[in-house]
Amino acid sequence: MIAVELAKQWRRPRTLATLGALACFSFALTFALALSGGGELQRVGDIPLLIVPDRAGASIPLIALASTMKFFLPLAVAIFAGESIAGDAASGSLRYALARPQPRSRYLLAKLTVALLLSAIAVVLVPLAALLAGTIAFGWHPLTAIDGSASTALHSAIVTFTPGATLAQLGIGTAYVAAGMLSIFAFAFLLSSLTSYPFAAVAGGVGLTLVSRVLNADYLPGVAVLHKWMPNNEVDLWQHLFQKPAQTAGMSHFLLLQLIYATVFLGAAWWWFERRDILA
Amino acid sequence: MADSAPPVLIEGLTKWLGRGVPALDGLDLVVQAGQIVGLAGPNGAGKSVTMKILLGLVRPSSGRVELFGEPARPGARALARVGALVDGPGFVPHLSGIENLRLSARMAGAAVSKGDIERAVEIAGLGEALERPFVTYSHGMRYRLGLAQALLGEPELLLLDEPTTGLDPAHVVEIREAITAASARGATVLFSSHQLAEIERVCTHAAVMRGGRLIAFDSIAGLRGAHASLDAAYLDLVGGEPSPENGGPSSANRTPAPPDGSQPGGSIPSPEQSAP
Repeated sequence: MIAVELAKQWRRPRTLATLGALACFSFALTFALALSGGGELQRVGDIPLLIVPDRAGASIPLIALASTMKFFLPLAVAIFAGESIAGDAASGSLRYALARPQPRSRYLLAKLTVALLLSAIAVVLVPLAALLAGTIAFGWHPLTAIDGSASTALHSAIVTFTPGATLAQLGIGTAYVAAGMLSIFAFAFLLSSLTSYPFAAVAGGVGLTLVSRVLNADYLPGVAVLHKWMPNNEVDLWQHLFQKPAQTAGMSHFLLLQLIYATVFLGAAWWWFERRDILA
Repeated sequence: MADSAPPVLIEGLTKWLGRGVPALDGLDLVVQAGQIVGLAGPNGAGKSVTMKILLGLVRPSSGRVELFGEPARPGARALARVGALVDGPGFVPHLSGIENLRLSARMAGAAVSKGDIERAVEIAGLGEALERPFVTYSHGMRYRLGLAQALLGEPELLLLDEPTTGLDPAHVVEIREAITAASARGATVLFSSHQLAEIERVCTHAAVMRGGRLIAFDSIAGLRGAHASLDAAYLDLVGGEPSPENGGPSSANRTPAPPDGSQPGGSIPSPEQSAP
């Protein structure tokens, strides 16, 4: 059933468009930096880490990942999760998929596996496309950055990573971002199990991302107590891996939070779908 | 599972859908092997919900529902012996007709052979259009593909919910022939329709539902009785009377009204009394 589901989803125009748009974003970013000369310091995400793109093509994936992790990647993940079941309900194929001598849990497992796989591909595609484009545009050199948190007005703390070390840290960072999408994925999947309107499920996933961003201590100090419990706020902590020494504070808490959210949302989806009347 | 068990057995089936009035209210229906049973009734009578409960898509609130002697529930093994076209065809829009049929066959597993797919392609009769994405199909083409999917693997029981709705006469004839052919090879068919002429022409038996209950079940000739046509018999049974949803009597005080005024199962034979 997983192979059948993969065959269905892989050729879906929206799947190809979503993945294509993410890859194009990385290429366009590289192109824009190349056009601007690339010699200027670029800030990576929200932390005071500055890099010079044309000193290493491997620096481009950092900028690409930081630029997409708070909206474009959650949107892509919400599309894959939100359309998984509700898309079948909307097309009418859900009732035929379920009117078979197989438990509903097998259908759900196939849906979950394929949507997770596509979401993982989306997250990996951004830095991978950026790495390819960046290396072509700027070459393959050690990454040099200025760690703002360790710098003073008179002294810039310059940190250098070999290409291999950059790739290793980037791999960990990408895995962290992918894991950081779990809560949004699970919420959109839950909505997909509840509704026959895929757009509603996708919008719900994106809505959770936006709520998470709004209830952010950086913007609303009054909600600081909520900040660390929001599902998307600390997805940017991977950037601290590019300081020396690498900072990992808060990462394990965020990953545990993702696990809790995913367990609750997916558990609810499972419970409900096993009991749901398929009337549409 | 007993092979002698009827393909469809429904006893005291009730389903509440949260609208204040039950969609099904103590439905009893038995479809014996080899019968082609036409299920008629006004909108809201509960025909589609009955089909969906048989397919394990909807859970009954109470009552006994069996397919070939096995309780009809989600994932029931007996569903391997059932083909269905319920609430219209449902396919993956961006895949072609033939790809959709192949996916259906793969999901059905070993029960469907390559020869079955070729036969389904013949039934669909879509020619080169089978290579086009499903989303480009006309209403009639979609229904033909839906029927081909229902017939994949030559199921022993066919559940067809208004399979001729909105089709032109040529397509209606094709679907009628497909049902007849399936019956000729031994399949049992439960076929809901508002087209009483179709039921009269295709079916061996007819069941009439109203307000979630069975109010008549007999052979076509038996149900027609002294009436000139099945239409006239049907109107005698359900015509003109408002359903509970439209302000008619509630299920608590409703008395089904067979033509001669007797209780259901009196002059109009009960399902158990009907032979294939």
